[in-house]
Amino acid sequence: MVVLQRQKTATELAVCVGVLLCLGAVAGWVLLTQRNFNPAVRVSPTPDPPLGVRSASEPASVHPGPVANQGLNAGDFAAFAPAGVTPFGPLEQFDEETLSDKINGKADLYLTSGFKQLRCQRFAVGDGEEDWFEFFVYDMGTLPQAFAVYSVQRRPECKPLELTEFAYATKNALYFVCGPFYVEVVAAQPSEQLQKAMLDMASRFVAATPAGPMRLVELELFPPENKVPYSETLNISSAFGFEGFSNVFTVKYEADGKHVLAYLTALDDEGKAAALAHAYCRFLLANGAEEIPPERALENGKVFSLLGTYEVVVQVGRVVGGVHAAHSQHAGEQVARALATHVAGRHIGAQRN
Amino acid sequence: MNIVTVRRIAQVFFFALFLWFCIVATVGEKFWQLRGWPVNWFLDLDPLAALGTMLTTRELYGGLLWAVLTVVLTIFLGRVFCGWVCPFGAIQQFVGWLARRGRKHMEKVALNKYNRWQVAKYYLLIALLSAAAVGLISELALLPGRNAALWAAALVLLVAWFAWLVVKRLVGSVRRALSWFVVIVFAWAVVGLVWKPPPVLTQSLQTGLFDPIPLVYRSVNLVLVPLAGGALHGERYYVGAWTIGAVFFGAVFLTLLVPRFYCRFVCPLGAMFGALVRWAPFRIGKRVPQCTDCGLCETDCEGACEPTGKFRVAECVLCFNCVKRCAGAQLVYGTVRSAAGEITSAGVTRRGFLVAAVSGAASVPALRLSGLTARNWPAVLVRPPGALEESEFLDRCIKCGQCMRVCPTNVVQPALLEAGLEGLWTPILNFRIGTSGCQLTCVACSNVCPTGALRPLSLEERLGVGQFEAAGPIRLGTAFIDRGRCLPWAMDAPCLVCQENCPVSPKAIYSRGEFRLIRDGERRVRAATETTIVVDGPELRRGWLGTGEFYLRAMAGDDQARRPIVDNTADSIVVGEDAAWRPPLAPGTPVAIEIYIELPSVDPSKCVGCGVCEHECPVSGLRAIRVTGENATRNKRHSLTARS
Repeated sequence: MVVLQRQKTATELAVCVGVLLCLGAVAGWVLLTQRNFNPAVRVSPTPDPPLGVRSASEPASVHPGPVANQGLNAGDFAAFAPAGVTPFGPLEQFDEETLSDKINGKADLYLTSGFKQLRCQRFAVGDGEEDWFEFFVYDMGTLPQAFAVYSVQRRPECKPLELTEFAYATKNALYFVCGPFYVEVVAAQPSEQLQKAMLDMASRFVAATPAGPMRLVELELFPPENKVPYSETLNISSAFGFEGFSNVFTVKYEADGKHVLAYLTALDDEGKAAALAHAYCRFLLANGAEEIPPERALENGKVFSLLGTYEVVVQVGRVVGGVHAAHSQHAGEQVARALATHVAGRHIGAQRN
Repeated sequence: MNIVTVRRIAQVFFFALFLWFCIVATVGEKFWQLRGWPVNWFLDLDPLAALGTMLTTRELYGGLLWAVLTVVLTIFLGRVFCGWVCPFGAIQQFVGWLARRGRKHMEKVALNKYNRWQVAKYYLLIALLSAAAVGLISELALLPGRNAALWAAALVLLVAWFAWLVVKRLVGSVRRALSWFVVIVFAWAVVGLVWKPPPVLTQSLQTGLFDPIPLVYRSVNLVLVPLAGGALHGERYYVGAWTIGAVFFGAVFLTLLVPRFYCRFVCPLGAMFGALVRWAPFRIGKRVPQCTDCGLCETDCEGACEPTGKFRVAECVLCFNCVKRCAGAQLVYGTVRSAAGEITSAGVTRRGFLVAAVSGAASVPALRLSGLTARNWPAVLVRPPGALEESEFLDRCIKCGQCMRVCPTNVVQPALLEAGLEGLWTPILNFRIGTSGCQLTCVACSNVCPTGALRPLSLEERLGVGQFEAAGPIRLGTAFIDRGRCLPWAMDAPCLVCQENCPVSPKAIYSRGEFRLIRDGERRVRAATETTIVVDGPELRRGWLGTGEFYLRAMAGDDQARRPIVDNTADSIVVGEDAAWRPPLAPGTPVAIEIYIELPSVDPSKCVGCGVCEHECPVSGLRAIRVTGENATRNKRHSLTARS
């Protein structure tokens, strides 16, 4: 039997058509097969929707343990990356159980401040070998809680940054609060190129994230005169070692050439404030403090001497405030008095609205 | 439309399909990512890969069943895979066509004459298969002592073969044949009962070195795709890729000199097909013994099978150029035998066969004598997750590079000589070169391996959860800290990068705090207030000690408690108010400046050898923490810790 020869025959045509049909069948089979995902693809977890487009009130989903998403798809921070910045690692997520796996010693600070979830991812600029940064977004649940972790970790070499109301930069990093999120963008090394890329990406993140009003009323109760810039902090719990002191804001002031730490916390009503002030005074006395008379009259206030430093406690309406560990009685009373006067002038009301 | 056009269409189709499979071999669900694309299909169609792994493992890995289709087609139609499907063949044919355009007819004919060195590929095939079959032969030799029933069955077969030989009169004398039969059976029995083979007498699968399908996969995946750069999934690096590229481009460039050089002289898969087509019912042949000898049929003959004269059946790659160019229409493809005669033998001599077989069989034990799969196992050999025990791994790995291509962090790399010559181009982990360590939640490489050298893992098995909880996670090796290079250990420089990046929960890397005397840290007080101590000795760097990690301790007196240093000048040290010495230290008091440093250590019972620590270690040359193969799940003999 001759199947093929120089002259075309019907057999040859049939063979040709048959071969082409086989090729078509192979193509069809391949297209059908690709719908049955390889197990390697199936185990790659589906990332969450982009954080920036999620409502701040919507609970973030939490993966058990550190989960590295292999596919850098729509759910990672790549959506905020400017041109020239590319994902350099998988998106990772950590919850309360696994946070210490990522940040180790600092985990307690976050966990006691209302931490919900951490998502982080590395990005490269250029070839990525040296020029990369990591984008950390801590979901702290509320603005005050995000501010708390932002403020108590403020680096001494910080420079102001016009990104959000609470933002600063260091040589190789940006730190800011955006609604309930505390964001750290940390570069592998100081570099202008990296800093620009990080700022671009942070700006995109801020623009895409509904932050709500970035206002902390308590900070406005501190008098602006002689305030040390960028010294505001919020201690969510057990401020100054006193368990009763939660949500305590502090600000440093210049007094007699030294820094004096003023603090305040707002309670629901005057009665609770009075009880808290009384409890704190008892706490100080129990720890070796000695009550001393103020240099000048201090309404609703007491002055204590403790191991060579001075504590001032005042109550103004539903606010308890004062000065902690001042180097001199004079400076402590001066700052406490200014604080009490300013709080009284703000008329914040006898009860929380 | 004629058959040559259709053949070209098929070659383009299969080559494009192959390229597409290489492009999409990257983890993800997008259309251009792995999804369910049958990226191993060309490897599955490769009967040499199937036969090789069958010889070494006595099993046929599921996907390789496709090879049966190739074998059946070849037995009936001829070397259709070579001429129509093989992507490497298509590359060579295209390059050869480019190189020989415009050349004179007689030059082309001269290039397409059969060369006696074309038999080399058969010897190569024999050597490779012999190397793969050593274990099987050894087992057969030992059969009398191991399994009497099987031996009896084998004897029956041997008797039947002997009878057949006698009947066919292939042996000159029946008495002589009988003598040989008795000698063989007796020797077999003696060997099987008394011989104890050395452990190195084993097999190794090396077909992947020359098999064109793994070769072309490896070359495209590890050389061409990385060279294409950003257009094909960004930067990729592969150690020793130049060696792979040299083989690939060498083979392609030799095609400029001789058409389908690799197919004609080297390709063991082509040789295997050549052996299979000996009795193919369909073949090319001449209708008449004598034609005009115009030579047109040999102008573009891809296989150098000499259709003009005695047709060399084993060399024909079914390009059909001869059939379509024959001026006298004397060449046809069908069931007719060539009137001018045929050469069905591949040209392998008995002596050549023996030399190739013995060389191949002897090569593996010779290589194994270095003990790399035994006690002298190389510690740097960290295989990807799912890798079998080293000997079993080498029995299956065909060096195709699919695992390296699919690895999302580029951490799976081709070995050079880390695993010895046998392990050339097999996958190992290199934590320096990738973008990270081996990701804990990734099982991509194990699920694309076409031969099961990396057995398919589920995420549960990888992490040791669910039904795999008792077995624990898959361990690739263990991280070891080089205390001579580690910043905290060697230089008192605070660094916990490895601990911070350790992805295992609880962390496998932990730290222990320790106070250490700094260099020139023993001083004497020259003068002191309660909080400021002026000391003697070399100048201190201003502010250096105020970072919170440094402490000052009096080495005499009742109060030798450490005080945290808050600041320093060139010769004075300041401690906090709450840590003041009351009364101040007296002049002459010996003091020690100490640093509190966290020193990282590895818990081998937790470490899975993912290499993230090694990748992140800031000692960027030779890392201060490195993963080696100890404690890897794949080999219990390399355990460091007692495990259930």
